[in-house]
Amino acid sequence: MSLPDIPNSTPHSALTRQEVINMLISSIALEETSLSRLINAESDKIQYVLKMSDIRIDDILQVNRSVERMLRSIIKNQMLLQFKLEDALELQKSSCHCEEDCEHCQHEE
Amino acid sequence: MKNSSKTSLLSRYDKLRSGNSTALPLPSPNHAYTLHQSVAAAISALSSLIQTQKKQFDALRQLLPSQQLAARDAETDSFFCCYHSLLNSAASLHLLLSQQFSFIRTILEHHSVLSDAFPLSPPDWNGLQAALSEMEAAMLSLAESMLATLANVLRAFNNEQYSRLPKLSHLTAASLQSCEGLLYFTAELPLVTGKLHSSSEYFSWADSNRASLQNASAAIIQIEPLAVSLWLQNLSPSLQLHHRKLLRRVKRLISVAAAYKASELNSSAAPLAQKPWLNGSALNKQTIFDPQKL
Repeated sequence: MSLPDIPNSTPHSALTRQEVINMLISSIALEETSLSRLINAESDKIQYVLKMSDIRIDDILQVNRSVERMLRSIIKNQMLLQFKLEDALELQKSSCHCEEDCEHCQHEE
Repeated sequence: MKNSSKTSLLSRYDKLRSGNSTALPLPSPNHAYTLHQSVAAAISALSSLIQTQKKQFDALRQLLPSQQLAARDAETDSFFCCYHSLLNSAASLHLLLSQQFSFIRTILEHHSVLSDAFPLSPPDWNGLQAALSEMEAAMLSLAESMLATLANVLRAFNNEQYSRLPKLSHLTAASLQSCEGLLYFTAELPLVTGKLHSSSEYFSWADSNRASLQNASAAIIQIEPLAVSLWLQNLSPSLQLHHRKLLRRVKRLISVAAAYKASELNSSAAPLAQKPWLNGSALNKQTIFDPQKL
C-alpha cells in the first residue's frame, strides 16, 4: 500500500486570529441565510401546488413527502451549524487577552 | 481549464466580492453581516412555512366531507392519507422550530461576546423583533387551524365504525401533540425576547394573536367531549390507554394556553427586575441592547 503524498505547503495568512473568528461567525450567518432561502423555497413550492386547480391527491402527497425530506436535511444542517457556532464562540472567549477583568471574563466565571 | 472560463469564474468571484450580485456575499474579516440578521431571515422563512402549512390545513378542512363521506371508503382513505401527510410535515416543522430556538438561545447566551465583534444596529434589532413577532402570530394561527380541523374531523367521524378508530385516534394524538408543541414554543417566545429587550413593549400582544389563542382554546374545549366519546366507543384496552394519554394531552394543552395568558398578563405589569428569566443571567448585566443609547 502506498503512502499518501502530502504536499509540503507553508500556509501564509495575513489574517489575525480575531479576524479569522469573525469570518467563521460570518460564514455561520451566511449558511443560516442559505438555509432560510431553502425553507422559503419549500414554502413557495407548497403555495404553488395549493394554487393548482387540477391536481391529484397522489401528487399532493408526493410534494409533502419531498418537503418533509428537505426539512429533515435542513434540521441536520442546522444542528451542525449550532455545533460550529458553539465552537467559534469558545474560540472567541479563549482569544480574550485582556490585562484587567473584562466583561467577557466575568461572564466565564 | 480554458482561459475564457477561468476569466468568467474570476469575474463572477469579483462580482460576488463587490456585492453587485444577488447571490450571498462571501465572508470577509470586516463583514458586517451579523448572526442576528441571518436568524431574522431564518425566522421569517419559518413563518412563511408555518403560514403555508396553515393554508394546507384550511384547504384540508374544505376537503372534509360531510357526514355521508364516512360511507365512501375511497374518499375517506384519501382524506386520511392527506391528513396523515400534513401531520408528518408538522412534526418536521416542530423539530426545525426546536432546533431554531436552540440556535437563538445560544446566540442570546453569548450576546455580549457577539455584539463586540458585530455591533448590532437598530435595523438589525428591529428586523429580529419583527420576525419573532411575525412567527408568534403564524404559530398561533397554525395551532388554531389544526385544532379547528381536528374538531371537524372528530365531529365528522364520531359515529365511525370500529375499523377506522385506531387510525382516527392516532391522528388525533399526533394533531394534539403538534398543537401542544406550537403553543409551547409560543409560550417560550416572550422568555426569549425578554432576554433581548429590556422594554415591556413586546409583551403587549397584537389583538389578532389574542383572538387566535381564544379561538384555539375554544377549539380545544370542543375537542374534549368528542375525544371522550371516541374513547367510550373504543373497546380495545390498549387504545383505551392511548385515549387516556390523549385526554391528558388535551388538558395539558389547555394549561399551557392558560399559562401563556397568565405570563403575558404578568409580564406587562411586572417591572423588569421581577422577570424571572432575566434574573441570574449574564444578559442582565446591562449587556442588553438599548437602541436609545445609540
